[in-house]
Amino acid sequence: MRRRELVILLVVLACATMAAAGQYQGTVITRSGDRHTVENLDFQGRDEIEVYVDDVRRLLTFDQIDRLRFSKPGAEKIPVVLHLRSGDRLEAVISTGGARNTPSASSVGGGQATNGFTGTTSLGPFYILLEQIAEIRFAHDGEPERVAIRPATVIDLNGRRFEVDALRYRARTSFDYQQGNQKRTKELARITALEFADVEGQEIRPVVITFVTGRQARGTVDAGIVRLSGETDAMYRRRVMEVFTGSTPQGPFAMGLHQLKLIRFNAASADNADAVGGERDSGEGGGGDGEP
Amino acid sequence: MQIRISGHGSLVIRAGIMATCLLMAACATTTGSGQGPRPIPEGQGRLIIEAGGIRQLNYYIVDQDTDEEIFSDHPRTAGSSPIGYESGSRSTNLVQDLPPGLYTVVVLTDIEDFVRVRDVEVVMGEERYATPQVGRFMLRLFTDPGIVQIPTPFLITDYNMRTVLGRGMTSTEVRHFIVPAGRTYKVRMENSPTGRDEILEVEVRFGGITQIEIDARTPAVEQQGGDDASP
Repeated sequence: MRRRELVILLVVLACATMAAAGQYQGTVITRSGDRHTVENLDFQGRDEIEVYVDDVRRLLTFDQIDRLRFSKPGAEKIPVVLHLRSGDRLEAVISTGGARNTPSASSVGGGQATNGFTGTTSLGPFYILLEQIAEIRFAHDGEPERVAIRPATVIDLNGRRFEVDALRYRARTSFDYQQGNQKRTKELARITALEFADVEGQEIRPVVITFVTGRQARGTVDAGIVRLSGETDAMYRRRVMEVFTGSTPQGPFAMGLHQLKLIRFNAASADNADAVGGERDSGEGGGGDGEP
Repeated sequence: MQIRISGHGSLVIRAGIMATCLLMAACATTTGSGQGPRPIPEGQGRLIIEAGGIRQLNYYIVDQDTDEEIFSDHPRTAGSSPIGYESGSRSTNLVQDLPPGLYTVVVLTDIEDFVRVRDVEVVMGEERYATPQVGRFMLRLFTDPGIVQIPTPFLITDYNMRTVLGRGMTSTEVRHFIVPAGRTYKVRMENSPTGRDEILEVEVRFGGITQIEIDARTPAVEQQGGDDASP
């Protein structure tokens, strides 16, 4: 009887351990050709990776990635080709710099580390530097989380109208706003319209967000155009002028929050997003998911 | 005067004293001294956010079934606020009792990036942990004694300095900036008291406090010696 209880206890403990384990696993192929099947795969303790696509910073979660192929490492960066689960292919660069603290920095609680992937294999803990990896193939269960990037009609304060494809907010698929002193973020796929109040000269612009469910939320966005101390021209352009980006038949599109009047996502895409997401919006003070 | 007690009587008295002590201890437990964790309310489970030693976070919790926000707390001031500082209070806002369910914890940092922990299951009567990968850094500015330190703004950028991720402000008090862990950032202070354009690299790890320093103190004048030494 006691033996049976012990077996049950062990089974329960094993299940609990499996449940507590990370959800990402894959095969890591090193530059020397060795293959490692790794579970609980993470990059610097996180399940997302920061890459630069055409010099624009993007954060991609492992859930979106199918394969990563690393090229020859350069100075503080490695070119990488990302094969996404959506079928897209991205050529990007991963920064390997900042591997160690500068002499002016010290760390309490341990901060000396290098950029790399960690996980566990059947032999024990696994750690590999970015420079040593040739390829990572993720083994995903289930369907990928679909990210709907929709075309939209953008109208600026001068009344000009733009039909924009693949509209993103700060290179992301979610829109951030404030409610009082509280930051909120909502997936663009769940939004049908963003209406900015026509208040001239104000840095904080009120915005009305209409969700696919028909509910509305009010918030504010920082539409300041003042250059910050220490900000370079490129940083300023990205922060102020390239908030919403996308593409039009005429070429690339970019617009700042201070120029916007209305963004309306087309109804067909909204329906599609509703079908994809299948989630309800909470409207005023509603929660939401974070960055992609 | 001496009172003689038989062996049997002594046993009864000892038993009585022990019973009294037990009763008092039981009373002390029921009234509660406030030292231990409070019990989990009936029908709820406990979510504990383990943030590597950080005791206060701005965060909200979303019910994954309904996509509705069920809790939010934002006790921390913005990183760019000139009045922010770390209080010595041991109180925490990272323990919440919630109805059983599946939740997403969204932690707001001092930069524009959020940290999400998905699929946090709260079970009735049990404690469950969520571990958002956040870390903190501290910028220490040294100036000469007697010089009033003015809060100085700085930028927090990505390592490549392509994007402004957030803004910060120095403080004479202890002040931590909470950012997603596992990344290296750069801090840029253009109008630093040193007169230089300071660009510092800061690597933030979970559970640690990375300290970066700007030394604006005037180098000590060396004692003159040799031929120029005054008698």
